[in-house]
Amino acid sequence: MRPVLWRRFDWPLLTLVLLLSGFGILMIASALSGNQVLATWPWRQAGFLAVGLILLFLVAVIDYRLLASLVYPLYLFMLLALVVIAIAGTVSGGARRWLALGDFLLQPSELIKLAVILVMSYYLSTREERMDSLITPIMALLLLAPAIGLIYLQPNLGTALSLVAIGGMILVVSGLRWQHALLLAGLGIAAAIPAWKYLLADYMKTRLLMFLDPATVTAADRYNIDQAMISIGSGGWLGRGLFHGSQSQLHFLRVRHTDFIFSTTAEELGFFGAVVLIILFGLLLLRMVRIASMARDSFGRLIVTGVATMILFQFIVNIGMNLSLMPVTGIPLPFISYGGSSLWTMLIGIGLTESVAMRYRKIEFE
Amino acid sequence: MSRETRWKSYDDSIAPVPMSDRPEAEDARGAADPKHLLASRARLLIAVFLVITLLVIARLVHWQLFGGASDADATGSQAAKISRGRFVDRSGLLLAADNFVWEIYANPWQFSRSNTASALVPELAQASAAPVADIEAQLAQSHLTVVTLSKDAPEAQCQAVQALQKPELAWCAPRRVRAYPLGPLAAHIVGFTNYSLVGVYGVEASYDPWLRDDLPWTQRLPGKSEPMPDAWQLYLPSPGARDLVLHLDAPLQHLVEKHLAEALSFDEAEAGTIIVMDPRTGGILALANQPSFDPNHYSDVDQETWVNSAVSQIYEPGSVFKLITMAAGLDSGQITPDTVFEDKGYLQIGNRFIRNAELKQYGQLTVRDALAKSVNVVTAQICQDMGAETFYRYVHKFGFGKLTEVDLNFEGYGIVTEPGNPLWSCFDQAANSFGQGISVTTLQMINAVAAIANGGTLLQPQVVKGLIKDGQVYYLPPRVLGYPITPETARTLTEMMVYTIDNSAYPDLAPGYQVAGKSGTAEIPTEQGYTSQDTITSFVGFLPAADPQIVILVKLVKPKRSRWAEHVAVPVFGQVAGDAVRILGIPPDSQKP
Repeated sequence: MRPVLWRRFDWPLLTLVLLLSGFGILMIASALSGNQVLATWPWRQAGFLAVGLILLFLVAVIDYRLLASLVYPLYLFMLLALVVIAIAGTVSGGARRWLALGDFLLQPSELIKLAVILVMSYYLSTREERMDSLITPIMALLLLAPAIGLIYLQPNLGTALSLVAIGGMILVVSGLRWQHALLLAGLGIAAAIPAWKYLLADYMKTRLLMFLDPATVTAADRYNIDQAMISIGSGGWLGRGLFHGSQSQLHFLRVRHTDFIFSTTAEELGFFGAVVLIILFGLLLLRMVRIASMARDSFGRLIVTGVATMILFQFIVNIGMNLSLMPVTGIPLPFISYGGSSLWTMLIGIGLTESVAMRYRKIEFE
Repeated sequence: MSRETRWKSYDDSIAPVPMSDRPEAEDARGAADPKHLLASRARLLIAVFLVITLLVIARLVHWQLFGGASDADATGSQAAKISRGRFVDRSGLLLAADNFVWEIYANPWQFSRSNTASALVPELAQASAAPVADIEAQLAQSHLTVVTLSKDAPEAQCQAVQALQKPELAWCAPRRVRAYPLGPLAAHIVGFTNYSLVGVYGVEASYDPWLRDDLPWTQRLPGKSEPMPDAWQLYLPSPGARDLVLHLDAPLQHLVEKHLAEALSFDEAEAGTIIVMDPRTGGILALANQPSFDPNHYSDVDQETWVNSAVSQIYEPGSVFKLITMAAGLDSGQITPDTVFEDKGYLQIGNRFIRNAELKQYGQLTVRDALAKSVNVVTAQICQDMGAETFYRYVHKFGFGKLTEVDLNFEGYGIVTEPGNPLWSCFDQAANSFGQGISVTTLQMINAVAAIANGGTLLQPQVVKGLIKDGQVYYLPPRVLGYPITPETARTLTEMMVYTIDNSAYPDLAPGYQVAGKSGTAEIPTEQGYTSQDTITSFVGFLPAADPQIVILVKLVKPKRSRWAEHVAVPVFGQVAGDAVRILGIPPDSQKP
């Protein structure tokens, strides 16, 4: 490895990622303290982090431009994996199969986000000169459609929406003409009405309705939201202290170490802790946008944009859910929530970002 | 340079994209390089972030700093509102449901900061039905914000605590607990949940993600749905609305457990298992193990008792396994029921000998009689003739050495030693042919015999019949694991099993019904070999032989009264079969059209 490459490795970005992940492990330990069965989970998360960091460096070392020839086969492979899972899920029929598969289903649906980032970035970076034609954005959306469709059929509304956000943002940064943007947005809204009628499953509608009109939903559905609100509300300026939140410690707040870990943070570390967490995410985003704008070519720029969008989308949807600003979708908080495959996806994304950062164009000679 | 001109300089055909966040001071490099200008669109992300952060901070300030989210009810009745699904037996009898107990909590930290709080201690002690000293000791832990004073208080005392009107010091809240209305019935099927209401054994564990309603269910539901029968509406739906219906028949299960307990005490056996299965669907109608327990008080017994030994424990099946050897011989065309073998009383393999039980010698006899008289030597000879490859192929096809994929946790694989394994020898194959030196689970054994009963289809055994949601039942379709033998082989073997029963000491096991069956008395291996006099006796059979509707397996471990299955397991089979045909309404052979 040439030392000049490592000079360009973005250490502030890695520092922010380590701060966020460390914060996450601390909050998981706090959220689960007193639970004998899950006592080892903070350590497991630390193990996931260690493996994820190795992945990060491996991906960073590879020149992202070498991925260009791999993106289509990789994307095709991920789509096939999703198809196989969909078929296996239907054919097996018996309950045991898909119950047991529950944990593993997540993995392809996490990795498909990275595959979508790569494939959209590559396709649009090769079509830069043809952005005036409406064909280009439409082709890009057609490329994106099978991934969204398969994830939606899983069914996993949250991830499907995150793919829409990632694809949309990459399109915008690749130079989407505003007339095209208006046209596509118009078509999207026109398609949303029949989609609500025929495509959304009942549980999806329930969650969206619950968000729009809290009075119409059952107590069971509202439980997590109410508990999150009580939890956050009891935090105050400085919180109840680590390992001392009564909501999380008494286990009234369910999934407190995964989807609702922000509530645990706000309860135990208060307003101060929550704001620190938000600032960390803000700095991370600033750093990534800086890397995007300095990228050597548009492929790199779009990759970083995609990864940043993925992180921002999950951040918004998760925190919004904790604060009743958004419907409950079961999306983890990046770097913080418990879970190996989510953390690994994020760290591989950061690895791609570093790979771009390490190969900045040579500004000095411009 | 104004913003308008900058955009125009790069592409005149494009109007400026409205972007609120575009910084006014773009550096000059950006203007010169259109690609770089596009990169600034990535700053849209920062704009979105800032807008959302403003909303989030506003919400946090409102909730956290100005008390917008009231925490008066912090530990209140919300917990009462979520629930775990229920499950019922095939006719709708309730097997598991949620219940509540009242718990009294206090905040020692607040007590330590309040001067007047100590006056409450006697009242709290009275409400918690605990000595004042105990309460004081608990409240002395002033570093804690929550202690539990009573774990099961009557509602009136709970209201007394609420009447104190000091919710920051002490309060009362309901806690969900799991209740099993039928007590010890089908404990190994039902299982139980731990203190945190997470299923750890039985259906409670294997269907935990379905039953708990605090996690959204995102998987596809199986098969076609039908409206729930009226009869089940007595206990369903639960508030959580994700329920289950089991194949289990509670009245039959009750009688099976009664017969098992009686057999255990009468035969002075250490342990036992009875399974009743429907060979047409793989549904488990009854499953009883002894010793057993009451899931309402699971902590009263040893942890080993929680294990469903029918699924998790392995044993050597003995002569019952001759059915598999015969099936392999018949199906591969090696033998017919009328093939004649010469039994010399022993079979030499290397320098070791296979002998018959009680060292009998039968002379010339047909395969049919070899099964009926359970002749080890002839069975081993048939097995040697077909070769190891054929024999172990059928052993695997019948599901031995692998999971039956039953919808219960902690399933055992069994142990099949075969060629390629350094521990295997030709002698092992001969011993395996009559069920020694090979280990199986009780469920594997009955499931293999069910495949003979239903005409050669190995099915996944199923405990749960259907998932219930929103008044609809999603029946789990039977799942085929394989086709070990042809329907012709299955019919021939069934006929041999009927002949076996007709020529046994108990030709009329279930009066009015023709029974196909086979008994087995297995020696129990110790570290020194088969030195013990203890046995595992079992009998497996199905009826009516012409159209099998139930398979029953009875297994008794180390009976003291007699060590032979004919005297121990077979009569119990008769009792269970008699009850099963009555409860399930299976018409006698004579009434068949």
